[in-house]
Amino acid sequence: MTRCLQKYFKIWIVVLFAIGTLPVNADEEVDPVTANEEVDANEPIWPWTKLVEPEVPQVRNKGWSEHPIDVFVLKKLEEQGLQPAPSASPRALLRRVQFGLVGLPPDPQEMREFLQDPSPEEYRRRIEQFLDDDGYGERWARHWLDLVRYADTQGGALDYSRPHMWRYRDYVIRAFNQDRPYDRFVREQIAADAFPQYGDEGKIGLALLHQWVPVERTVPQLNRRDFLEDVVDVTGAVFMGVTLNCARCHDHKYDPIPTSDYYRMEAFFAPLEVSAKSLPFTEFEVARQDPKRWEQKLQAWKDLLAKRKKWQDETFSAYKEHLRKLRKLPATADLKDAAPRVGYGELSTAVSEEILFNEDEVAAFRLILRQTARFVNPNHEAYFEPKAYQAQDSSFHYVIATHVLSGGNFRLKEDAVEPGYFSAVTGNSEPVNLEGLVGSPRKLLANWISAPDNPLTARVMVNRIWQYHFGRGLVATSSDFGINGSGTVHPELIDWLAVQFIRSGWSIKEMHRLILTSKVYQQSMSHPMTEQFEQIDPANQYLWVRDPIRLEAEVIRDSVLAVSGQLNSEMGGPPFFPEVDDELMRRAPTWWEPSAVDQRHRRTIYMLQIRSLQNPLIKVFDGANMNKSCPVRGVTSVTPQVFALFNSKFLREQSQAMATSLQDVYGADVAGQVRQVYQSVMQRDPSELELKWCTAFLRRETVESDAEQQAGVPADRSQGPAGTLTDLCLVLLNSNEFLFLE
Amino acid sequence: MSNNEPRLSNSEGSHPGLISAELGRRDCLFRLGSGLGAMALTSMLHQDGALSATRESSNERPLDPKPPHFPRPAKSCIFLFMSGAPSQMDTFDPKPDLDKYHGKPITRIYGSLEKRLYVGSPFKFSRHGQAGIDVSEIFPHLARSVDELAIVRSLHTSVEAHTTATFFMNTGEAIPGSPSLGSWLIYGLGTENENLPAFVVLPDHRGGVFGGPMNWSNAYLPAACQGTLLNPVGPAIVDLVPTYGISRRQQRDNITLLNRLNEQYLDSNPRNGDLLGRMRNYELAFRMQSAVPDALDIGRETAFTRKQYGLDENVTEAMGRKCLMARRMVERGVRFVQIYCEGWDSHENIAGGHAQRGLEVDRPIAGLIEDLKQRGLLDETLIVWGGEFGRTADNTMTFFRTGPGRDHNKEAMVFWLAGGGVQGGRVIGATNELGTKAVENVYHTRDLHATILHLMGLDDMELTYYHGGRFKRLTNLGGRTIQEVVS
Repeated sequence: MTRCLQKYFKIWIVVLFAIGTLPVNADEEVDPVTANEEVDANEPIWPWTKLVEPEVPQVRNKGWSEHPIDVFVLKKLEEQGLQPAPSASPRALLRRVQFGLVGLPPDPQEMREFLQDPSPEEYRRRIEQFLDDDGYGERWARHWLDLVRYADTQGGALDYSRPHMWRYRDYVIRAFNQDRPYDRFVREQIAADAFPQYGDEGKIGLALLHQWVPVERTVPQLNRRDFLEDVVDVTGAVFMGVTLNCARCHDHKYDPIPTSDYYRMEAFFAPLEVSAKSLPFTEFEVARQDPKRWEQKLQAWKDLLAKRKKWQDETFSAYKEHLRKLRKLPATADLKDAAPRVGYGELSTAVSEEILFNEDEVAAFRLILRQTARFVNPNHEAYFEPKAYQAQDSSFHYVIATHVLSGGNFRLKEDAVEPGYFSAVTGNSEPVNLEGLVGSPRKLLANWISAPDNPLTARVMVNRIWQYHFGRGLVATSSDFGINGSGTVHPELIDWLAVQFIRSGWSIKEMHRLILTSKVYQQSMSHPMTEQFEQIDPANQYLWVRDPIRLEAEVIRDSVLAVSGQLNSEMGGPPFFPEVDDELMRRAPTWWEPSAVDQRHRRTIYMLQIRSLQNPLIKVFDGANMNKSCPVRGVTSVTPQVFALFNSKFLREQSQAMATSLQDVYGADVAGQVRQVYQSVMQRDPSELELKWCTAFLRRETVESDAEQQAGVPADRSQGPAGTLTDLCLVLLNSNEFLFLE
Repeated sequence: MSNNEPRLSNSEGSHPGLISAELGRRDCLFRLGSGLGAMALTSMLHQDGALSATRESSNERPLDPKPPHFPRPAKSCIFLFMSGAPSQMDTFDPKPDLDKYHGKPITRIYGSLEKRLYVGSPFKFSRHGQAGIDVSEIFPHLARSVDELAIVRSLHTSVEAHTTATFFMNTGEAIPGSPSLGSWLIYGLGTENENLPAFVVLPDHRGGVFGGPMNWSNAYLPAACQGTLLNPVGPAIVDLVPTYGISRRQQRDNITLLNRLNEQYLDSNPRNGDLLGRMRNYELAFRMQSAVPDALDIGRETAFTRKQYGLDENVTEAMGRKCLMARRMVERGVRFVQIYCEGWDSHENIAGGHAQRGLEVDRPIAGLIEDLKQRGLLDETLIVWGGEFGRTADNTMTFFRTGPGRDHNKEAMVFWLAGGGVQGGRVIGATNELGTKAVENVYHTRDLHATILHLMGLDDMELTYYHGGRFKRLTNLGGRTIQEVVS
């Protein structure tokens, strides 16, 4: 055991003591130094403690703010000898709020209006406006999809399609837009089948239980084990911030979760089966909201697949016919009777040897192989079918009792266990009472997780909301509230927020209002005392200043489309297929035909998510790894980001679209062009210096481009001034000011 | 490479009248440093503490070269991945007993219920090198370098389907989503040349890799640790060079303007540690545009070298090209190069299939070893050869009629390691008399991983990353270093 493990092992023993799991006679083995008096043997430790509303503390600087969030934070700041940063500029603030809630840049006109009257009332009005915007759901659903590692394919070695998963994606968007109470959102996703009142809409949420990545296993029991572990793991981490999977093979090394708790939790899911089943489209879904459009799209998809199939069949039979003729078989002979038949193998050999076929024919043959591949093939015919991933408890393995498995090995059964909650919360290891239960035992679990007295659920969710606004949670490891996580210096603030959350009827939008109106949120990202304060709190745990935020991958792509004027705000439905370099698709290997341009210009959340081939732009900007739950995205700067943002066809096209519209409006007015680019991208006027640089750039580039053209330089700079303007737009879309929030 | 280095200092002259008087200290530094590249600037800022205040300083420059845990001669690694899984008994693990059983039935069920027969090796083995090590006739050139090879005959792995086993060989897990071996190496050691990708994948010219990009994914490690796919034909890296027409001068001008705007922003956002890194990346990307083609430009090699790698013959050209590219890259400080050679999955007609694969890779790999040795690079370049699992001693009746092959087998596989301080001329471990199961000094894929890390100067128990509630490592709960290889 490494030193570091030993350290945590000792802590864990102390915790087990605290919850009374360890027998008393074990105390001789406990290191007396570690078992210090700080841990009261009868008291659970935060966040396992009962949630009670803490009193808003007293602070010295009463004038700063009366907002309870601010007072909680200020209290800690004063204790540390720190002071909060001044407020951010109105421009920075509006950008922060709009990117935070909707994930798109402000419209220049709206920015101008706000700058004329940046009063608190106007600020609140903007918050309401953004919360009412459909784009809010699209932005915040993405956070949730990160957690459940949403994808349109199943991943693993075969990566088959999950063609109905988009209904779950749309469901999450709706849930956020409708501000569905979070406790209900939890219940729907765990056990909607046992809550008839949630109807078909709720049942779409059950697809959460079907996000697992299957592995090719030779032993079927292992597949089942993988599935159960996945479900338990996600339930623990996403809803309660507990790394349950650690307890599968051994008692949790850091947190008060004995292995038996893991299997008691698993027992809730033991009879669970998830599969694609008929589920009529609900009145909220795009199929019924806009039936005409839906019909058109469905027909277009059918036509496309039929056309492709026809071409494939014709090409293949033509090739076979060609081969058959070469063999000089009697022309009248039926292909089936002709001996030997022209089989696929023979055809394949003939093609690969390029003897009988020319280059184009070989290419067509290879394309058909990719189009008809069994694996990683997103060209599924079922996208539009009224089906969804439905959970039900199967009588086939309806055995409530399950077993603790030694080392997680399904062959090594130990004690039988029945469904039960965390012993650290309930204080005992009693099984739940299943008497009189109608429906799945998951119903009990869902009720328990979403109950106001569950100490973890509300704390974990308010911390997530905080994280998505601040770039970092009060508990930085937002899916691990355990001892081995980051912990927090703000447990009182989390508790206060959690109590408000529950009191508001689990309203996420109410949490936004609360957080966004605080001065802590509105702080500037620079502080006059930076140098001194970084000595005291270099990690800014106490929140004396706002941390810089880089836009996430999807926000970057959506914002580029918004700025270029090409964003298509159509909502919902099966995913659109992006344009990806053919070479990359071939290496994956997979194949699809890009959707029509206007479809490709929809928001990124509607883009096809294939686990075995992440979109390069999304990947390099730290998009969520779709194989595992992603509670916190990385923020890295890597060179391939330049390839995606500076050199790619997508960015070039968007810059070109911008340039074209600028030229239409401003003609030869170079300064006007520059001002408008700045307004669109940065929502401000350029400084004099910037204006000077940019106009010089445009004039000089234009002159040199013309000269190069005359000198016969082969580059396709033939667009003349528009080409240079495209370059300017591209440069601004690559600027740090565009990608970072101040 | 140096003659292709873009002259960044040109940028100063191209904008007369734009004097830096209005700009801050960093701007001047940037200008000063720009001739040497922005790297100089960033390292200066590093030293004067401008970057030290940022939160995740350990993650901020993950590509910086880092000292190994303990000194080892190896600096780079070339992993020759024989995709599809070569047969141990037809390459480096002769089984004369098996030949005696050839055509005799075996009572065993594998896949279908079809009757199965033993398959003797269609290849002759002969002894080579000072140690007199058996090598199959499919590797006549490689056999001459057998004194450089440490052949491990007693490896086994956990899964025996191509994709899961390829994931396992590359990431230590059968499920995609864990960092690959190459990513761990970059995470542990950084890179010696930032103008080139630190971890390069050269795929087979014929097609994909089982499981695709997840095999060179950084997963939860910093994104800088991800592998970069270099296409051996066509454009090496997607969007390395813009696909639309733009001259280098034009690009340079774009970057210059971008730098100016970013410098301004930098001055008003001193607490943001990512800004400089991003600015640096544009310079790096620009230099990569010439550095990558330069590293891949095998046209500059002498006729002798080209012949050494088999570039003079069609059958060896594809693999030879990749091996030569690999040498040029490790020469330039690339840490990890993975070369895929497809087509070893010989369920039928192993006599034809393996003979053909041997033809394709034998000369190029032998050439690589000889060339590295001649250049004094073999000691600092670790070479690893093998597939995702081994093969069976028997085959179904159907294939036996048309030409027998071998099925998948996770209980025994053969790998060899060379260079990088490996003690060559050795055979480690043994399989049973029919070659179907590793029985002596048995090692697992995880042990192979631990050994590769060890040879690169890294301790697999120390090379950890905190993720998902615990410290993770390539070898999961740890692997055993194969002592016979490293000592």
